[in-house]
Amino acid sequence: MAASTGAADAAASDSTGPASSVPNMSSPTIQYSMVLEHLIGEKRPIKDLSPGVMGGLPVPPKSDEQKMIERGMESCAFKSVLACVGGFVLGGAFGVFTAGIDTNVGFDPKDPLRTPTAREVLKDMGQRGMSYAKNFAIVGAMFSCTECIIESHRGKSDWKNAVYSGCVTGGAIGFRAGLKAGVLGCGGFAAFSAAIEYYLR
Amino acid sequence: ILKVRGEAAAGICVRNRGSEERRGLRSEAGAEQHGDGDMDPMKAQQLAAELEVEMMADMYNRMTNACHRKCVPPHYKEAELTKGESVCLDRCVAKYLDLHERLGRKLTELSVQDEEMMRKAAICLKVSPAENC
Repeated sequence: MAASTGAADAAASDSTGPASSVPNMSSPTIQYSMVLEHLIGEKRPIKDLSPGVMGGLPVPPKSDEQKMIERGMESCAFKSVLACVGGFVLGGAFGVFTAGIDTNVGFDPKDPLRTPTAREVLKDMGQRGMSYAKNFAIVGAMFSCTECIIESHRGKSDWKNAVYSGCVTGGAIGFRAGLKAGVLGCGGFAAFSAAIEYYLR
Repeated sequence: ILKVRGEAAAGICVRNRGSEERRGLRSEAGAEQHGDGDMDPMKAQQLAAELEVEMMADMYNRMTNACHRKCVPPHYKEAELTKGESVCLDRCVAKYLDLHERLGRKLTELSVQDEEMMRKAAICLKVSPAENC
């Protein structure tokens, strides 16, 4: 930084040098302001900026459609939709699985030893699966959305994004049952997110 | 912020001086001048066109280095740029170009003031050489 300010000072003194020494009229001087106007001022030409022109590796320019598609795929909305769908599928599978393990269906108080019919079991599995699926979908969408927003705001990608968005999601879910439950939810989900991030990174 | 400003300033100032000295453009430009020190506009434009390629290449290199250092931490877990990094790069490039433009405008102002001062001093000396101008 000292070197660059030194260079800037040298450049400034170079242009003021002729003024202080006042040379005879025959010594030529470049009129910097005119050159600068063409370089970086009002009269500069409109250039097509591409890495090939400016010293990088020449890359074929992307079409507008391609840019739009890529921008869409990177956007927060797309990511949260993806997480929602993924959560739905995962939740459905999880619900069906737990329904198979933890059966409480078809219990008839008059006849405790009756085995439930296949229709009852399937109906129970379907209901449980759907309920779990919806919950997972909502949680997944919220987490993904908040994480993407926080990451866009911070401009960095590290483990803290997941922790912050875990706190927000847990807090939002728990807040419906009161403030204390909200705080607990925030802490719990943030810790869970931190553990997952630690494992992934 | 200071480092980026310093680099942008250096990119404009040092580059112009360096390439002029290398090509000996002073005498080349001086040949076309009128008596009062005004440069031929065509010559100014040609000079600017020659310098521009170098200037853009230099600015691109510096900008790439600066933004890479600022936005992409050296922990490469995957090949693609993450969302945070690409957002950071967008902001970095926008700031760098804004800086470049403002500094360029300021530099043009200063060199115009400089030339006015030079002109007045030259006229003053021409009129009365004995007097201190």
